[in-house]
Amino acid sequence: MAAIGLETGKAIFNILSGDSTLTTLIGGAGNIQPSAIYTSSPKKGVYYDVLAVDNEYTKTADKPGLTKVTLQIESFMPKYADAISLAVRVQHLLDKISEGTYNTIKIQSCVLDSQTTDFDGENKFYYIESTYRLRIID
Amino acid sequence: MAIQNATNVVLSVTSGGSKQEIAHCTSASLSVSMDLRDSTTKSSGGWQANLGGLKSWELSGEGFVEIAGVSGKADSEELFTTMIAGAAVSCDFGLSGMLYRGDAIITSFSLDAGVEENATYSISLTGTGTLTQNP
Repeated sequence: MAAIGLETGKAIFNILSGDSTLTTLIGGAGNIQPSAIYTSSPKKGVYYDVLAVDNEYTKTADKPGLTKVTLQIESFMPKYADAISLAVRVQHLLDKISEGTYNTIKIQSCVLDSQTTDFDGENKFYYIESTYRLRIID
Repeated sequence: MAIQNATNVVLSVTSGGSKQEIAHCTSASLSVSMDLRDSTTKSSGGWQANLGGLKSWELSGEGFVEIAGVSGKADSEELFTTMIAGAAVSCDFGLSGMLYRGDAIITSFSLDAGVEENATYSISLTGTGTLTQNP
């Protein structure tokens, strides 16, 4: 086995879509998607990207049992206060989450690394970019 | 020419009753040195002269810590126990075709644990007696 960092999104969707407070804010779990905001009809929602996957190799023949993942989550809302509320809710759900298996993905830890606020003038959305660091184990 | 991939060069230590690779190893090194005996005389022409003296060798290794222990490997807890016992243990360094073997005593053991980092251990061993190449 090996820890597969690219599948981190499966766990993130599982965690976020299971929270009714968050899905109510964005109008349904369908608005939690990988990197899909820049479409012809952008919608409010939570969008996630795997920015980096760093495998931890050792001298054994085994595949890496630990993968560090840098994940960016963007919280898009038409109103600034709502964008903040959404990002805060995501932080509440992900930051320091308990070690466990989420939709077959074993998360050892997840911590919030940094956050920035911005405005998408073309699509008229405020958005918060939050970067999380995860440790995925096999 | 095939330059050796260092990943395959491992350190094995007799720990827990059998010789085993150190667990979750991320680095291993061997250092061999020799003291010199000053043999400078008045006829050395102003240059220091030396003769070979005592030879010595050291091993070191680092790896990740796994609390539950690692079956078939010398994990950090076993290495600590081996160090406290204080006896020399048989060690191998290298891989098939490039193997160095000798008895050594674990002279240092350390653990390092930061925030959101891998917990790591490191050991150093000092050889006692002959280091044999490709035994």
